[in-house]
Amino acid sequence: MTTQAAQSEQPLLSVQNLKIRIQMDNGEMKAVDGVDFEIHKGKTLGLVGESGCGKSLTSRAIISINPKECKTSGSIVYRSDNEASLKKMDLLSLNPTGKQIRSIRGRKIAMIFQEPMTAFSPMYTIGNQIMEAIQIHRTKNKKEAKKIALEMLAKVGISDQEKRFDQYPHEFSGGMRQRAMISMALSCNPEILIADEPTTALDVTIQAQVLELMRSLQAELGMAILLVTHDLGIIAQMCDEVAVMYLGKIVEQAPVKEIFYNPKHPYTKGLLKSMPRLGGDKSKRLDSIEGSVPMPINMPPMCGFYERCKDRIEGVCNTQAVPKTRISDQHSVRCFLYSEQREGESQ
Amino acid sequence: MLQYILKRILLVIPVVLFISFIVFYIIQLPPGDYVSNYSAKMSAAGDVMTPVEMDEMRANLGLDRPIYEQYFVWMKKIVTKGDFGFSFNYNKPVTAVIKQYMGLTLVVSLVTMVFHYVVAIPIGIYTAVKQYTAGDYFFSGLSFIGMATPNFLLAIILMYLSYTWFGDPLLGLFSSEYVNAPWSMDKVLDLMKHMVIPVIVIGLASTADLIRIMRGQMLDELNKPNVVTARAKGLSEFKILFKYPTRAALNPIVSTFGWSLSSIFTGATITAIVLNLPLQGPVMYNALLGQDMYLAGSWLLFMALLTVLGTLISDILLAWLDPKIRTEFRGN
Repeated sequence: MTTQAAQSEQPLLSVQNLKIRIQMDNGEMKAVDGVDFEIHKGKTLGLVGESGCGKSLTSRAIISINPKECKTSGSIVYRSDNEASLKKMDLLSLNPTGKQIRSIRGRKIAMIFQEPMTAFSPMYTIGNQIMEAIQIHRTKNKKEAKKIALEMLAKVGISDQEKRFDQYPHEFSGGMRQRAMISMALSCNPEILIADEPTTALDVTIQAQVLELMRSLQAELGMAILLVTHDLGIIAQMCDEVAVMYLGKIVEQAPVKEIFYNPKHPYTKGLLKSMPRLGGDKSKRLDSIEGSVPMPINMPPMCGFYERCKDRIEGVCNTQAVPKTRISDQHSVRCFLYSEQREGESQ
Repeated sequence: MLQYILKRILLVIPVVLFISFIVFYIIQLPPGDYVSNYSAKMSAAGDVMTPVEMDEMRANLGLDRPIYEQYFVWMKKIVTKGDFGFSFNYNKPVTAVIKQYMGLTLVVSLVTMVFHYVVAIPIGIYTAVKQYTAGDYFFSGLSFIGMATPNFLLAIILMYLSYTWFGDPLLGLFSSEYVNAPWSMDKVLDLMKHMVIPVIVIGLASTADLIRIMRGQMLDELNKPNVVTARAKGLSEFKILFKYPTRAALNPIVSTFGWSLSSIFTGATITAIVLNLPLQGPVMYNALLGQDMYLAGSWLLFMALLTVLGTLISDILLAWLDPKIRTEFRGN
């Protein structure tokens, strides 16, 4: 693994200080609160966290497809490595309905979604919906677009493509639909694929097939993947690097092995403990993290995990914002247990 | 598909026969009949009919026979000769009465219907896309008022306004000089001028209703994941709006299209009476009041048939529009 070499390269996408605010009746919700990460060519970054931690919003902010209510700030710099005209730009500064961002969506950065039944419209054939992306970005010629679409369907392992092309989403099985979704996303050879819980709605056996498919297509086409999931098993299988999100912040970020063998943040540790293991003691109950996630509305500066943390330091963790601490070159964590700046304790 | 349509058309026959019998029975239910109504009218005018005269009149009109016999005679004539009986009120065959009013009724109804869809659907889409903006509040407020205002009241208000502003209440469908005149460009223009108020009055409530339905449907569809997918593909907002949410929102509206078929042929009754419009609605109303049973019966039968056919048309349209239903057809 040459993560070192990859890291020194310029990243395809670098997200800096991304904040997403949503105005609620009882105050402003900090749904995403200062997220930084980079996506490198051909690599897979896993964004893991529980429901409502802001991982989906973060992934959708990249191509500006969040609802209007989401006020987004920060920067998302995209560097295309093969097109001079798209050398370097801040995607957040673009008009979210404008031409420029639309030329990137689907073409350079494509996305697949959790529920392939609702993500496809029931009104049009699968073929029609796949061809649409191709016709926007690659060719106006209908015949050529159809040819590309059929090739893509074959590539994701759908047999009898001619017939499948003219079928509607409800005539596909769940796994088939997700394959079709992947073929649609990859039909314009994107540099980055954002996969938002791509296998959550699928059976476990189908899940393995779809993940395997994504991996082999990544090897073939060389795109980077941002994999959003709450399933650590998928992370272990798929990712090079992992960012653990909690309450709108990345609390720990490290290469995948480091996360599994040397977790630092109490939340990461808790997540790993709550995973069932083969050969584990069956008589013991599975560990779970006590308490529930607070709403990030009008929260004082403190660690969001404080209430649920076993190792919390009173007077420190609940009085100030937690800075990022570097454990090593590639491993960073937001926790006072590893920080030198424990102001509260020294006083 | 064809087999299904044939099956449905064949099913129409027993349904309509059944309805026709019930209709005939119900018309007979109120005390008295056309003759007693007629004699009451005559006595009000000072001309008293003796019981013997009344019985004679009943025998003449065939009203002295039992109900089922009357029904069978009526049905037999409809099926064999297309003869729907005789209107006592108009002293003409029922078909002639219906024919007399059909043309204008269709014109007014169809124009109203076009007005209703052309106005309501774009406004429904607009208010959904611009939800909670000033424009949305304006049209939503307007549509609530439209739904809540009784037709006849609105008709009177518009008549009054038209009279105070233009000096003509625009009653009826033609100015007096054109009523019996042969068709000409001027007569058509006159008709169009007179149709503005009826179309607004008749169409307003259903238009307001459709705006609300379309808005609700669109709001549902606009938040569906397939819209996000389309956006993620790089499609422009305008194309997304018409290809995905609007297309899907139209389905339930099409499914109600069939029900409006019967109202197209009847025209609005109360509005037509208030505005003195020569439509089928008032004719029907008077037939029911005067127990002009063959006219009323034919009318109710006709409406029942239209409702059944309208539902069939809706089903076929829906199968044509909705791929999921279409697959079910193919499966049969």
